[in-house]
Amino acid sequence: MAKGFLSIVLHAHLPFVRHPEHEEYLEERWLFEAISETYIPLLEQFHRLNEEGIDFRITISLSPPLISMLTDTLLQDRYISYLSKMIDLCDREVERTKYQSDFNNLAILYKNKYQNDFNSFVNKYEKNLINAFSELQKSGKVEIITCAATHGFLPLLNLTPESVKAQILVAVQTFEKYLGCKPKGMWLPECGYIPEVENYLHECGVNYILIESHGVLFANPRPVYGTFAPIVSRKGIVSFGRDIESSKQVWSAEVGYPGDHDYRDFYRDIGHDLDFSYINPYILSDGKRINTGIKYYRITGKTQHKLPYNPAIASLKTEQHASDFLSNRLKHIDFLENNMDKPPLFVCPYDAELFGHWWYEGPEWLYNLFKKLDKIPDELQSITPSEYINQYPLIQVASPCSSSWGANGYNEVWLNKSNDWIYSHLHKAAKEMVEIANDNPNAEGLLKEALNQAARELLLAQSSDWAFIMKADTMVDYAKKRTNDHLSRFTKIYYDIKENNLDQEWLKGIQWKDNIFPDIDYRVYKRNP
Amino acid sequence: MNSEYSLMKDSFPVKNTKDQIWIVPKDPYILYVYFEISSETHSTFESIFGYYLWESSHLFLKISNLSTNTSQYLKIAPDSNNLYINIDQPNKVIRVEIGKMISNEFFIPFAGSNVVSMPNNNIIRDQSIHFENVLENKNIDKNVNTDLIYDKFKFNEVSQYLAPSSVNMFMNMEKINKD
Repeated sequence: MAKGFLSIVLHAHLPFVRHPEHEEYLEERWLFEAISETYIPLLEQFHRLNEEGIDFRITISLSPPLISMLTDTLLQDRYISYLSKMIDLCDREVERTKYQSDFNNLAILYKNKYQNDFNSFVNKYEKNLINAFSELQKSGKVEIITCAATHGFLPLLNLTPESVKAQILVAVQTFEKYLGCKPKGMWLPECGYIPEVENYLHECGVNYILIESHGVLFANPRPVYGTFAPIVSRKGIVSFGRDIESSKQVWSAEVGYPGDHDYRDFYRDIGHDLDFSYINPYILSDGKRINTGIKYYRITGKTQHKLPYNPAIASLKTEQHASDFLSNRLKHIDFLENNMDKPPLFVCPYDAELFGHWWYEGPEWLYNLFKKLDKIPDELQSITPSEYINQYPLIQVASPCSSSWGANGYNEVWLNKSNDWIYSHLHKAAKEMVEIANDNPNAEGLLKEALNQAARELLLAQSSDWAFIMKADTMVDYAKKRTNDHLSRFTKIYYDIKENNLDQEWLKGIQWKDNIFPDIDYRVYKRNP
Repeated sequence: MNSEYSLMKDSFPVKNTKDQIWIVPKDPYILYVYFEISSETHSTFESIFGYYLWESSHLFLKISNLSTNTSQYLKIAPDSNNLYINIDQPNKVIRVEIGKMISNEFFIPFAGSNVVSMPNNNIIRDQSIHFENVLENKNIDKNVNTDLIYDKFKFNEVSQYLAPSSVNMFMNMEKINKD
């Protein structure tokens, strides 16, 4: 039996950024970059581990907006166009850099990478990455879990409990539709926990959640094993708390692996570095420079004089860092084994997009981590939370503390002077949604379509991403526009229903734009008994 | 209706016809409060107490700590409709009312808020330890030294390694690990 367990959990999420009304939209690039830099690289590394016969376990949360976008034919086709453009840019880069060997090798590497993405996406995955993740889940090595419907920050939506219910129920329904089974676990958006979420998790058959370290450490009564074992609430929901030390090794600005000087620099991108006339076809049509994804430099250090990126050296670093990560966990086990009567569990939740998009070498680091882990099964084993529950079902009863993984650990990232104005509108709309759902329990035809669209608009307005962007003070206009657009659309539908004056043509246009959750049933908002 | 809503880019209707006050915790110490006093309440007040009393009296929040059965009053600006208030009492159950204070003595409430629990921000010293076999749904008593892990690791503060949001990474705003 292993002396300890490691549970790596990746949360894959992007807000719903589908804009069929425009041929090109900056925010859709978030999805395309994430597919090329994170989702495909992760899938490739998992397949590589499988092919090499390496036993590994990883848990991946796929948020419903991400599932919706990855299965959307318009966005799939637009991703292919994005890849074609990237391959074209790489061709030009190979030519442009032909007398600069350091850069030319990298240009060729990028060209191969994007061509490989094209082949994998079109031929291997048949444009549907959700099916690819689903297939991996069948292997038993990858556990897919869900997140709230539109990543609503649940602690701030609970003024109308039906909002929390809808976020959870619609998420579970979406998961079942695309993954073909019920989710065993849920990543609470931003790890935002309040006790009330458990009512609905229980109702949906979700067994476990991931929460921030102090959500477990400040639980009542205090958990005897700290974060090194889960706790279970009176409602029967098992909470896994984030391990502090392993988080630090990846997230810390001072000592985190992604900041190593040999890793690829995220900021130096040819979209900003090259002549405008040359790069113009590959940036936004209004001439605004953006990151293209082609980056030639390593972090180098605290200097503006960056050295060329060397993939071979960076690859070696991923091995070293994987060894370092494991060695620290083993030291931790040495200490803990005298203080615990069962093997400690280290829960390591990260944003999936850290791996590949931000930390370019992150997927390879994961591959090396699992490869090395496979050689020490008696010391440390990877495990999914549901496997842990099955192996160690005796769990301390304790109620987690309200918490989140945002700055300072509670609600302030999503509730502060920059974004607090949204809550009176969101709460009002939620109450109105409950009202019209109750007033029309058996709607049919156009009325039913309008009620379903009202539910979609409310859910889209509730995404935690908009409040976060407002706080971050970049691209604030987009976040405000999305909040206003969805709430305005919701309000129009609400008054049209109240005045029995539905506008079919307008509704059709909105359904075409905001087509998330095609099977939603507005009755999810019926008042709680 | 159509043209009205399609033109709304920066604001949308939110006016309510009745008094309301809502509260949500920002963190263990600070509560966000938003409220609205309807014009109907204003006129009713004036018809009962007269114009002068409405103008000369102040709006107050009555903050009740339901865990300790104590309350305090906070004067608020006449033109405000939201504010952050320092509660200074983590892990307590709070309710807030809004109303007018007459002669610094009588509080006339207009509306009461929802009830919230302020988040906990420290280790709870409750020693009652129970275990449950979650597969069999059975409660089990087990003796465990509750001090072991906590004393060794000094778990007494919020982790300093809180994560940024994934959307942040696409906006290139915050340098997580790079200089």
